[in-house]
Amino acid sequence: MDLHAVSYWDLIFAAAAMALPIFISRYARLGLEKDLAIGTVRLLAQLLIVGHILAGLFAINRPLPVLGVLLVMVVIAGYNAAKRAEQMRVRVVVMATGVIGVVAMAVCAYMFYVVIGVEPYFNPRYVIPLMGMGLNGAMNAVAVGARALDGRLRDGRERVEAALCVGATGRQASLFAVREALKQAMVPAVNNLMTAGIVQMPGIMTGQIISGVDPLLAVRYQVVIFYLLTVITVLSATTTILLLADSYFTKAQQFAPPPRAIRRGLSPR
Amino acid sequence: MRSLRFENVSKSFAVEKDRRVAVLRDVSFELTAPGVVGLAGRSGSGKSTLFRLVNRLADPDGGRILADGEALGGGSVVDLRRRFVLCPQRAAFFPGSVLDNVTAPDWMTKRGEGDVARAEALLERVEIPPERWTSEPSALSVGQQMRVQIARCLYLSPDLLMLDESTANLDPHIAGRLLDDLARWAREDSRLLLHATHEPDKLRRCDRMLVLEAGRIVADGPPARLLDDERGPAAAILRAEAD
Ligand SMILES: Nc1ncnc2c1ncn2[C@@H]1O[C@H](COP(=O)(O)OP(=O)(O)OP(=O)(O)O)[C@@H](O)[C@H]1O
Ligand SMILES: [Mg+2]
Repeated sequence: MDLHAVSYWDLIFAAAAMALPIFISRYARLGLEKDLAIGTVRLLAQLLIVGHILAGLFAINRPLPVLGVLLVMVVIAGYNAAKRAEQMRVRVVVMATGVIGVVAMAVCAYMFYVVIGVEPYFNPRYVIPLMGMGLNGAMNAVAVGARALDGRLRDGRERVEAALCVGATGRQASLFAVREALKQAMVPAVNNLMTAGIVQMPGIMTGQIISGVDPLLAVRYQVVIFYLLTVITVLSATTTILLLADSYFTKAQQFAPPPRAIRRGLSPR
Repeated sequence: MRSLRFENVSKSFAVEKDRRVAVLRDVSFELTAPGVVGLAGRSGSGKSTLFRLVNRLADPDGGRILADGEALGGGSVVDLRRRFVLCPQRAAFFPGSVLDNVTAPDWMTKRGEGDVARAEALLERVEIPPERWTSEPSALSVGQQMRVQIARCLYLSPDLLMLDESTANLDPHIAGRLLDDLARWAREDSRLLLHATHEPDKLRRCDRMLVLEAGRIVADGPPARLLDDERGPAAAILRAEAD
């Protein structure tokens, strides 16, 4: 492969460019300098560690270590999904981990063995990065779905209770919120399908093209990945929303949203 | 139905981690059907909370509530809510027209398509003009919305109907006609009509009134006597409300 290598010296030049956003933050008094500086270093350290782990996995080339890394990734994704949904409850963390693990693994298995034909079956060169993308998609979908449902139900309290008042079950009373949350979680995935390649060049494709792969092959890879990511997103959002909706109601069909988590630090709102 | 009975009912809410506020304290009374009962009390005294315990949108922390001598909570909560119907203080609607909203108790709970003729008769009864029947409820005035909600409650033919300030936004003539109609409806068929309101003239239409103050029943009796007793709690509370 004719690959122009990025040396560690090159990295320092790239990092130097990060001085600009830090300068802007200071100048505009945004107070983000520290986060930016830490983020710059942390990104480098984090990815270097990942690189070493990958290199190690490739060298060992055994199924169990690959599975171990995958499980760690699943748990981290589940934890982060609950955190991003601002619902750090045991129930949500467990649910998120389960949904992400099952959905991402099932869909990726289809991609690995039916579509691409990965060999040997645990080949870390394919399995780790592609599962990483799948898990990331599932994690986002779970977080968005959980958040959307929570917002719809809390804002729609009166509508929910009006339905309960005429004898609806919790499930019937929350149907509108479930449907709206599903839609909210799915729209970005659908939009992605529309604009891919025109507005933004998908990461994998860009990477492969830079690494010297035939653009048409890179495109086919990317299309496969897009389809499967869409499936992962929709499946994980749907299961999350359906599993969580019932937890807003007691056995006696009373609307009892869990207490809101207290937000600290930099929050999106 | 024959009776509704509260026995030492209390209810509190957690406001912070280790702090609860008592909203109903040791509330006891017995109402017998047929009857029209007024529930008065300052804002925040616990009227809505009391109603929500009857249709089990919430459960008490202590005490018992009995309907016809049997504790609530024995049978299906869904059936209970369709028999003891609460007309919530704030109107809320489902997607669809005004008519759809009146038949919601059927379609929403998958019991059927809904009886349109019956819904139309009820809308007429609460004086919603026919040209509004196909509008979205959000296009109606606040008072009209409350009346659509009352029609939705009546669609269930409840044994017990709780109006939570449901006539607050109506002009006195419509409100008067509606309350007369509901009182007749309750008295004819051995039903109970409970009406939470601040307005003395509406309380005077009731057979009996209860006065809640900070979660306790502080007066119980014929409205005329309680309201005309200048030094009694009912008059004091309603006077304070008016200021
Ligand atoms: N879910 C809840 N959590 C915490 N506090 C509550 C809850 N519901 C009611 N309260 C409190 O209970 C008290 C009584 O409320 P309630 O709605 O029953 O009053 P009300 O008599 O109906 O008042 P209004 O005339 O304004 O409708 C209020 O202080 C209210 O803050
Ligand atoms: Mg109230």
